[in-house]
Parts: sequence; structure tokens; C-alpha cells
Amino acid sequence: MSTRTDAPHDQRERSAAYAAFAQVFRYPAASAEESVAYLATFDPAVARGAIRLHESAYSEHERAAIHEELLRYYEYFGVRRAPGAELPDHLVVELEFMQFLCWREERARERGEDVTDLRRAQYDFLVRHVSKLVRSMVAHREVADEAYRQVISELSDFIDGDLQAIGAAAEA
Amino acid sequence: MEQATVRRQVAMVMDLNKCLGCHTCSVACKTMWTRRPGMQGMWWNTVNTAPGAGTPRNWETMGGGFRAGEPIAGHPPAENEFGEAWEFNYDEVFYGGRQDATLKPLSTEQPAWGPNWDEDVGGGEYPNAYYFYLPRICNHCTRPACLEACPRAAISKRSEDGIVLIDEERCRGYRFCAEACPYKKIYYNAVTGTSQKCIFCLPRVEQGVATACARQCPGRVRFLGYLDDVDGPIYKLVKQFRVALPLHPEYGTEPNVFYVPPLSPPMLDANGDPTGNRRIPAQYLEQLFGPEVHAALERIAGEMQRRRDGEPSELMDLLISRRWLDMFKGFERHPREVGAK
Amino acid sequence: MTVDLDRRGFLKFAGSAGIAFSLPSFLPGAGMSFAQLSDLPAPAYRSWLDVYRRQWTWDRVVRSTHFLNCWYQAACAWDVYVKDGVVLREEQAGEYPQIHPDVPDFNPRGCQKGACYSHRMYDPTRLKHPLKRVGPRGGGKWQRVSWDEALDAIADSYLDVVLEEGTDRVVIDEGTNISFGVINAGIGRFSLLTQSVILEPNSEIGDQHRGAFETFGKMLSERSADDFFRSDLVLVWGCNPIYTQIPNAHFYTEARYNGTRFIAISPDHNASATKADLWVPINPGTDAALALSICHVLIEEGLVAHDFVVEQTDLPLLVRTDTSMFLTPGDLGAATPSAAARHCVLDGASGAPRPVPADSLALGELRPVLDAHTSVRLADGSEVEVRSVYSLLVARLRDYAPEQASAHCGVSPALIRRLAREIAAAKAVSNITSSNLSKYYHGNLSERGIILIFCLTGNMGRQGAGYSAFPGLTTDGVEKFASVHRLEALPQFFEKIKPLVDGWRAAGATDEMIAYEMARMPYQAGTGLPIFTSAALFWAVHGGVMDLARQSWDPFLKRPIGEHVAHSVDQGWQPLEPRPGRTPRIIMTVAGNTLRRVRGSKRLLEKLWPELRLHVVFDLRISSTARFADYVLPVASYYERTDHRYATPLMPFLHVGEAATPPYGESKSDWAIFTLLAKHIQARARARGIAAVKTAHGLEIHLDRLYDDFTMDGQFREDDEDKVAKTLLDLSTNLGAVDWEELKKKGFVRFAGVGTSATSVGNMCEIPAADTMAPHTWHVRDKVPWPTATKRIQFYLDHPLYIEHDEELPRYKAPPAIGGAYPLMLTGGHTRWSIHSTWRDSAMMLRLHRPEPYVLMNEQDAAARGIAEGDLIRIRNDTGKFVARAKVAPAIRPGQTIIYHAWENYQFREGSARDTTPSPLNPVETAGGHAHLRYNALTGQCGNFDRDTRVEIEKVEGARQAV
Repeated sequence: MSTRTDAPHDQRERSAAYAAFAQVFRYPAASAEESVAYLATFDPAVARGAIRLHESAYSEHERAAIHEELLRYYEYFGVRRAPGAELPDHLVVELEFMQFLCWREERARERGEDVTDLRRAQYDFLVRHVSKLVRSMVAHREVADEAYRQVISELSDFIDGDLQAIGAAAEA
Repeated sequence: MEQATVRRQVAMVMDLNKCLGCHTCSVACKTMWTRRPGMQGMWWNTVNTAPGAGTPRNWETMGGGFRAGEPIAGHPPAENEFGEAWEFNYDEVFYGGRQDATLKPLSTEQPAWGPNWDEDVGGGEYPNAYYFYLPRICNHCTRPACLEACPRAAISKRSEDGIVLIDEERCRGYRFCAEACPYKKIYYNAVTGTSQKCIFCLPRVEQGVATACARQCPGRVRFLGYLDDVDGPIYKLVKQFRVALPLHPEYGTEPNVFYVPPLSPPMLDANGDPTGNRRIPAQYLEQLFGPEVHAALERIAGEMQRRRDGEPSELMDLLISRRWLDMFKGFERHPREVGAK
Repeated sequence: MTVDLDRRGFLKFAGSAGIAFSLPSFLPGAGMSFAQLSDLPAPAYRSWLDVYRRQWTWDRVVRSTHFLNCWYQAACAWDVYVKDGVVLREEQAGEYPQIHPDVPDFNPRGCQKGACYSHRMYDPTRLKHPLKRVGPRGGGKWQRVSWDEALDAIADSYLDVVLEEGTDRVVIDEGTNISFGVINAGIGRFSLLTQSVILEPNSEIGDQHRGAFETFGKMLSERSADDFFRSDLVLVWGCNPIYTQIPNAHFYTEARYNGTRFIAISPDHNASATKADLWVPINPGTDAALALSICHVLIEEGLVAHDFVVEQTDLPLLVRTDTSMFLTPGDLGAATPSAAARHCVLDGASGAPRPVPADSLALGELRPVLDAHTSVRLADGSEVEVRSVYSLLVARLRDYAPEQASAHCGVSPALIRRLAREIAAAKAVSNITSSNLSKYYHGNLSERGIILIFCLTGNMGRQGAGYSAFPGLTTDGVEKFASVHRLEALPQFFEKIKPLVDGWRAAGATDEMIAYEMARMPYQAGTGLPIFTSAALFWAVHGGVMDLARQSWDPFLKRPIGEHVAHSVDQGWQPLEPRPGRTPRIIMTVAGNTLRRVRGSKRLLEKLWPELRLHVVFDLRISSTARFADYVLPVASYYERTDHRYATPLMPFLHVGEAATPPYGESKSDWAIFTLLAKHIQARARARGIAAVKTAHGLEIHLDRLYDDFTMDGQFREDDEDKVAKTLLDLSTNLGAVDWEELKKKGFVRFAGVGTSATSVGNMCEIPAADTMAPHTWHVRDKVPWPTATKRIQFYLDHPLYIEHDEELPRYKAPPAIGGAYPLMLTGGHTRWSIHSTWRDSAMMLRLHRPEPYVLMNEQDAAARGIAEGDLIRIRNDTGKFVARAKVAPAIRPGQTIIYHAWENYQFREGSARDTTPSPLNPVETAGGHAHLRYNALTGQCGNFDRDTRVEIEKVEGARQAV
């Protein structure tokens, strides 16, 4: 199926989109064909010039500091990293957290609560973390795999759109 | 300007005869406080080989402080004078598929300075080379030049413990404080646009836990406590035995970090035989610690001799501190017990 | 924008409500479900600063330690602060008790490396999953494989090799980062059950302390660091503890305050020299000349501790001048020369030669003449001139008058005399040791000379007094765990070896000597125990490192070193597995970094690696060694394992670390990897119809039940690290009663005794619960014989190799021209900034000194070569060359240069420091066929020598460009 990724206003759809993107960047261990492409694109141990999926790989900030802020965000909104999950600054973890925030927003809306703070949190989290990471990934030039290049670009567009939407909503 | 009224002052004594130059203090501080955005190159705690250019490079020539009560002009250190926190080409070396890649700083082919660049170089000529280690943190001065220089009144000296803090909400990053501090222990954070420095582990100290640099020091260099605690090690070393001295007292800021000056092995004469003179020139130590350094050194050497002769020595017992926690009287709590930060 | 996200099945939106509940990376906090959580109002949020305002804390604080080879400074209890399965930071536990009111407690310990291990464990070099090489070895191209793929492939290669070429072709290259705990249990059981060969690395890294081994019959002994408070003089000789013993160093600075004098003897004014009361500069490699000159003065001025020397050393023993061998009771016609009395003294009472008792050092009525020079009538009626060792020594020491020795060592005659007098006047003299001198080619001679000073002055085996060579203190459970297929069989095992033990005892062996005999057993393949072989000998012969040496470098060498080695291996003097000619085919590198570590390692890549069918490396990152592997298997970091580690008497506490988090990514503990490898070998063997295989020594190994045997029928599986760790302690005899769960919480426990292991028993002393520990007291106080041929501290070495090389008595030999006749000596030492290579490329550490390898030079040497501070320089000799930066310092002795330890090969712009270090074998180390001059655990084997490498240095022109 297809979905609009520029300015989704439906929280259920946003949440699902983040979930879907998170799924894309998870290691597809089950499929030999997909795993080859995935590793060639994202695993620096096996592919020269691979795109790093960790925010700390691009940041001038200390890895531990990034971990701390992320873990603080996660805890602030009531969740914690599961055992065996990727490190807190991995794209998949950050996308899942956005999925979770969107979903919380949806439930809050259902209850008729004010979601301004939740939206602000999503905006900040995108700006401070997800968007920075994804922009660095986009800037990375050597992406051999056409499908992944496209999906990174789609993710980037989606996040830009989402940022705009949240930003506009926050101003409105 | 008005002087802050301080009810009590926490202080530190660093024993240079025990300092190993190992930088566990620097790492402890880095891990505890300076990993956040914009702090990569910050080492609130530094250790340098003396004599040497120190951190920031040639800091003793940068001015600041007071002479005869009047502020002395200074300039703030540049980032490259602190030394760069190099990033390395790990990806290329570990994952680049290139056998010939060399691990190097990304930014430069010719790295030229860092926070401990002249480690173990020192002075003199072989065999009369000499050096010692000089660890430094913010001195939490009784008359903080930084505080007086700040036009935003963003710097305060806490009345309950004398810790000097920068309020980052008020700070606009003008860096007058860095100009005024004669010890050049204030860093600028380009990400937050504020000045930052050692906070004497305030959240630990408030809960009775010694600072990370002191508690983690394997050389047991650092004593910590209230300056007015007559039963505590600080008072005894600074006031009673007068073997702990401020660094550059002529800077006029009245530091609250004090140093036990270093002894050194004798110089050798032209035949290679030991002379009666210590190899670190007395004149150099006087430059650092003022004229009281001579008496302090003689007192330490004299008490050491008493121990060799089998006589008791309260001063030596104090400097030894057979029970480690005695070094932090009043700040003996275990960090694990105090929880949050 | 609308895009098709469905390509390659990427985005699945169906049932999006369901997806919302699937958050595999997260758990809901506070005991709620995600649904319950979302029923709560969201927290107020105004800005990102809010997340920092909230009180924040860790979830767990776990006691751990670092399972690495920091040897002299081991070990430290750390609290590891964990949140959400991520290690945030670490801080020293700081909870050691004070042992005695006279001495400081052990707190807080730690160093800057340990304080940032949490950085290292998550740094970008950390491997997440197994890798398989694609393309040529060393080409840097890898493929991700699953554990099953990797282990199946390794298992199949393993089966191919053992079936086609034999079990001895499989080599476990055990590195230095072993724990003597769970890691060794894995390595040991794998070797036990497959008869693969374990390379024993201690001598190869140059820690064999040959001089102590030659003199004491062992190298192992050390005092507790607080015992330095009982010394009134400490010699800091051949070491730099301010760099290499950071957690212990406060005892030295504090003992000095307490009145103990410290004299540092070293070529450079190093960090430790700055803390001394006197620094004595010396030409590198000439320590024997200084030591023997001090001995000369001690004798000349009548400062010898007569009673000690006569009782504890071989100095009164008589030597036949015709054969250069000790005079035996048999020579004199004693009817039944008992095994217990093989040496004679000249008895002062009777004026006749008498056998010395060998079951005790107590002399009874015997009054040996120390300076004996006489003739005796042998059983065959002939007269022969005999001299006591002391008499021979006095003659030899005539060449070491201070004026003569000064010409070699560069210490002034007056200072030599002063040192001798100061040492003689002190009531208790001790030394701080490191393994630096034994990395000099003639380091054995230096060490023998220094030990002679301690013995002539009676400074042995008392609180505060004694020479220490190599510290070691271990539990003794792991040998047992790796000796039998099932623990239930331990009683039978001991029953089986009882006749052997009884035989040794009947021949006069002490418990200590029996421990060494037991430890030698695994070096003889075919006993059914795990197989050990000397790593240095292995690399020399199979790796071709021996080919780098030139006979001309050592003027005392009468034959090529290859002849010595061949003879030694043929005679079984130094056992080697696999035997020469049986080329190794599989190397598994565990807990080590061979191609960084082994001197001349480039030669290994030329000669041995092309012969290998498989090279597997267990590591956290693609180290210098892993770069040439076929498979790299990611291992758990120190904070991700449960284990306990060896100690040293300096800090006589066992340390335990409990896994603080699960291993990162797919990494696994070394134990788990060996267990799983056994599982895959068993499965592949069954699938291929392979059952038992015979070893070259006729033993059967059962590959079709390897996993069942390895795990003792499932008792100790891959995820049972905790249980293995506990069991190893249950099997140990020297800890007292230990509650494992409490121990894990506390992190440390004081040893109750030295135990029975060869890596520990040599201390030969109690470990008092409430006092300091002083080694060798059982010899000196209780008169228990030393484990040497003469049962005494032995300065006269009656072995043909020693006589051939004129080393039967201590002497000085000038450092050989290793690498060719070049003017500068490239010395080294362990760095402050890393433990071996573990932190060598850590950004945190590099930022705190310099980011590239550097060589320290004196200003004069630099100026003479037009070299300035920071220049790129090329260091070269006949063996090879490398490029580094110059660091110019007045603390370095002219003629000496220093490159500190363990830069990774990939940190050099050209070559590596190992390319200039051919490390020739010293022929006396091939000795065997002697009561004590033969292989032993950790020592008695061939070593490596890089400290007296000769080089020239030149500026790299156009140095600002990359080389």
C-alpha cells in the first residue's frame, strides 16, 4: 500500500509510519537477500563507507552525553530501553520512540486532553536527535543500494514534513 | 566591587609529592561533568608537567587577577591553547578495507598541542632534569576575579560553602570571566554560548560525598573539607603546619586550593655524585608558591627525617592518611548511596 | 509527496493499531503496560531542558572489575552504574578494610584507564557480530555471518585438520588478557578434550625473570604493597611504578613520608625517579655491572651477612675446579649418596668436606667455611682442588671494583660505594619490581647481580626485606576444572597421580617443588591433560622469528642459535608442540593481540600465516591481529561478564566482577564461545560420522561428544558463566569460606593463603588476615629448601650451557648489538596510557597525551640529527624500520631512546615498532635436563628481548606531508 508522507495529521498514521520506518532499519536477519543489501549499506564492519545508524557517529558530542539525554527523554515519557535492544542512539530506537510519542498523542486526543506539550516534545526530539541523525545519513554520499537510498530520502522528507506540521501546529 | 560573604569555605589540598600524573582525576571529572554538548575539549581538571606551558598553553602569561587590589588586564585563552579534543578516523582504519590506513586525528596532519602535551618533559639538563605534576581545578577563590568581572552578575560565590558557580541562565558568554581569571580555568561552550568551569562537584559535596577528582584519585593526593574545621586535614595542613600553599598567591584572588610542594632527588655534580641541593630549583618553586615554600619544604623534609629516626610525626601521619576516608572528613559518604544527579 | 513504500516489502501498514503496541526496543516503566501508560496524562513539557531538570538516577550499581593484564597493578573493585542496560560510568568501590593500624588501607585503587572503560566498551570500533573474511587475508573486507554459520565453518575446518593432519595442528594462541578464572576454564577444557595446543605467553612477553628463576628456582614472589612500610630502604630498580602501578603507588609515596628511603636506578629520569630520595642514572643494560660492583664493595668492606649466606645460599658449597661441577658426596665415596644430600661444604669444625642436609636449610652442627679453597681426596684416591662458590665469586668480583664497573655502567665510583654502604646499613631492604630487566638480552645477569646484593646483606624473607621478581597470587580451582572430564573424577585423578607425587616426595621434593612438577606436566603432550607449549619457542620455530637474529650480535655465541634450539627441543629440554616440521594449521587467538605483541611479528605473516588453514580471533574490535583473521568473533567486554581474576601479593585480594549488562550486540563471553564451538564440533562430527580421533600421542579424543564432555553433561553450558565462576572458587583451597552471592555484591575477598598452584605457591609465606605479607618466610624463617638444584639460593649454575657461555657465576656482559651496530638504544617500558593495547587507540587516552606514536630522545641526540620536537622520524636498523614522531626531553639519557609499549600496528604511518625488534633468543634459556634449569610454568622458557635493540634515527624529510 501507499501512504502520504508529507504532512500526516492523523496520529495513528504517523505512529504507524514511524513504526514502519523503524522496521525498515532493523537488521533483516531472516532474509538472505535483504540482509546482504542491509549490511552493504549500514554495517561499517563489512562495507567500506557504510552509513552509520548511530547518532553518535556523526555528532561532535560525546556518545555518553547523547545516551544520557536520550535515556532521559525515554524515561521522562515513561519507557525504558529493553534488554538486548540497540544502543539508545540507534535510528531504530529513536524512530520507535517517535512512534510511541505519536501514539500517546493519539490516546491523549481521544481523551480530549491538551496535546501541546506532547507535540513540543516530539518537535524537540526530532530536532535534537532524529532529524540530525537522518540529515547526516542523507549527506552520506556513497549509498550503493538504490532502495535504501530512496528510503533514507523518504524518511528525511517524512521527518521534514512532520517537523513542519508539528511546528505549524505549535504556532497555530 | 562588593566581596561575597561566605559563612564557610570548602577547600582542597593537593599533595604534589603523591601526585602520579595519571589523570584519573581528569577522567573522573570528564566522565562526571563534561560530556554534554560543547564540552568535548573541556577538562575542568587538568594535570600538567611542571615546568611546562601547562593548560591552557602558557596560561601564566595571560594576565588576570589583582595586583595591590586592582584588577590586572588579561585575555581569554583561545580554543587551540587548551588543545584540541581530536577526533580520529576510526571508520577508515577499522572498517575502511584499507590495509595501509593509519589512525590519526581527522583535523590535522601535524597535531601541535593538547591538554598534556609536554608530559614528562620538564626542565633542566640531563642528568639534572627535573619535573613534577601540577593538577589544577578552579580555585574557588575567596576573591574571585571572574565574579567581579562578570557584567551579568552571573557568577556567584555560595555563602554556605564558598563554591564559585556560573549561572548559565544569566551567562551570555561574554568571557570577561575568562579574561579576569588568572588561572585560566574557565572554558567557553560554543554550543550553549556560555562559560563553564569546575563546580567542585556541588551535587556530590552537598550530599556529603567527596568530589570525583578527590575520591577517585588513586594516588590519594587530594584532601577535602572545610577550611575552618580545626580537626580536619585542610585546616591542619594549611593553617597549623603551613605546608600547603596556594598557587601563585601574587595573583591576589586568594585560592582555596592549596598545594603541598614537591621534594625532589638531589642534583648530581659533574662526577655524577649527589650534591646537597634538590634538583627542582627553589627559585622556580618560589615563583609558583611564593616565598613560604622554602619553610614548607624544610618542615616536610624535617618531619620525614624524624620518621627515619623513629620519632613520631603528626604531620607525616596526616599526609599519609592511613585511613583513606580521613582525607575527606565530613565528606565520607559513598556516592552510590546518594542516588540522583 | 506520495511514495510507494512497498518496494522490497519495506513498509507494512496493515493493522496499524497493532503496530503501535509493538515497541521492541522499549519496555514500559513502573510496572505498567504500554496501554496503561498511555491512559495516563502525558507529562508537562516546555523545553528539552525539562528532561534534565528531573531527578535522574541509575537503575543498578554492579560490582565489577577489569579482566585484563595490568599484572602488577591488579586489581580494583569498581561500581558500574547502569541505566536501561547501558553502562553510564564507573567509580571505584573504595571499601577495602584497613589491614593493620601501622599501614595505609588499600583504598581507593583504580587508574585513568579503568575510569573510562565505559567509554571504550561502546566506542565505534566495537564489533557487534561475527565477521568472516572475504578477499585476501589482511585485505580488510568482511562479511557478517551468524554465530551458527561461523561456528559451523570453524567446526568443519577443525574436523578437516584433525582428521587430515592431527590434533596437534590446532593451536590456541592464549593472550595476556586472561583471568585465571572462567576464560581459562574455557581454554583449558577445550584443550583437555581436543588436545589442542595452548601457547603459554608469559615468557614470550618477556616476563620470565630468568635471573630470579636461575637463582631461586622460581621467579614468583612478592610482598603486599603495604609491607613496603616495613622497609627502611626500597630500591626502585628496573621499573617505573608511577606508570605501571598506579593503584599501588600511594604506598610508596606514603612509605617515604613514613621514613622509608627510596633509591631509583634507571637510565632516564622517569616519573618514579622524581619521587625518589636519590636517583642513580645508569647506562641501559648495564645493571649487572653496578650490582656486582656493589657486591664487590660489600665483600671488600666486610659487610656480608655471614650467617644468612651460609644457611640460605650455595655460596659455601664446594665446586671442583677440574670439572666445574659441584663436589658431591659420591665423589668422596659416600656409600649411599642419598637423594637428599648431593652437595658438600668444608666443615669448619672438622676441616673436612661434609654433605649439607637437603631436607632443611637448618645446618645443625655443621659450620661451613664460607671462603673455602682447598684440595680434597676423592674416592678414587685422586686429589682435586675445590673452592666454595663464595671463593670463586670473590675472585670474579675482583673485576668489579667501582672504578672498573663505573666505566660500564656510568655510575661514579663514590656513588657505588655509597650505595653499598647504605644498603648494608639498612635494617630491611626491599625492591619494587617490574618485568623490564628480563626484556634485556642479558637481563638474567642483571637480576642475578641484584639478587646477590640482597643475599649478601641478608635482606630476604622478612617483613620489609627481600628481593621480589614477579608477583602472582591465584586461586587453585581452574587447573582442577580443566584436568578431568567430569568433576566427579577428581578423586580418581589425584589417586592416579599419587605414585608420581610420592616419587617426587621420596626424592626430597617439597610441596612447592611438587607444585612445579605438576605444572610441568601439561608441557609434555600425551598425559591427557591440556597441552601447553612455550609461545616464544613456538613463534621462533614455527613462526620463523628466530630467522631474524644474527649470530654476530652476541660475541659470546659460539654456535648459531638455531643449533641450540634444535638441540634443546630434541633433548626435550624445552618441549615444543606441535613438534618441528608439523606445521600448525589452525590458530585461535583468545584474549590477546599477537601480531601487535610478538617482537618481529611481521615475520609471522610471511612464514606462518600462509600455512594456516584457519585463523580465528576472539576480540572486541578489529585489532592488529584480527585484521589478518579469517573469522573475528566478538567477545563480551569486562562489564558484560561474570568472572574472577588473578591477583598479586601487592594487592592480596581476589576480585570478582558480575555482568552489569548483557553483552553488546551479538557478542559473547569467551567461555560461551568455546562452549558453542564444542557444540558445533560435536554436531558436525556426528553429521559427518566422525566419532573418536587419535592424537599423535595415542590418546583418543571423542569429537562426537565434545559438547557433552565440555559441559559435563550439561552442567556448565554456554550461559553458565556464573556457575563456572562459583565452581572454580569452590574447588580452590586458599580463600577460606566464601559465599558466592555475597562475594559478588562485595567484589573482593582477601586471600587466606598462597594455595597450591605453581602461579602462586612460590610466595612461600602466610597471608595474615591482619598484617602485611612478606614472601619467602617459609624458606628463611622455617628453613624450607629452595626449589633449586642445590636446595639453596643458587648463584653457581652447574649447567653446560652456562659454562659454555661463561655464566656459571654472575657476571656482566655488555648489551649485544641487537639489530646491528647502531648508535642509539631503543628501550621501552609500559606506558601510563594503556594496558598493553587495550586503550592504545582510545580517543579519551590519546587526547590526554599525544595522538600518534612517539619516540623519546634527549635534546643532544635530536639536535645532532637535525631533529626537532614533533618531527616525523624514521627509526631503522638491519631488521626493519618504522616512522613515529620525536618527543624531545632532557629526562632521557643521551644514547637512549624510548618507545613506550603497545602502539597498534595501524597507528604507525610506516612499519611498526615491532619491525625493528628481532628479539634474538638467549641460548642459556634453551637449558634443560637440570634439576631446576628447565621449563616451568610461566618461566624457565625462552623469552623475548627488545630493550637493547640498536637503531639509528633520522628526520623524515618533508615531514609535514603524510608519509
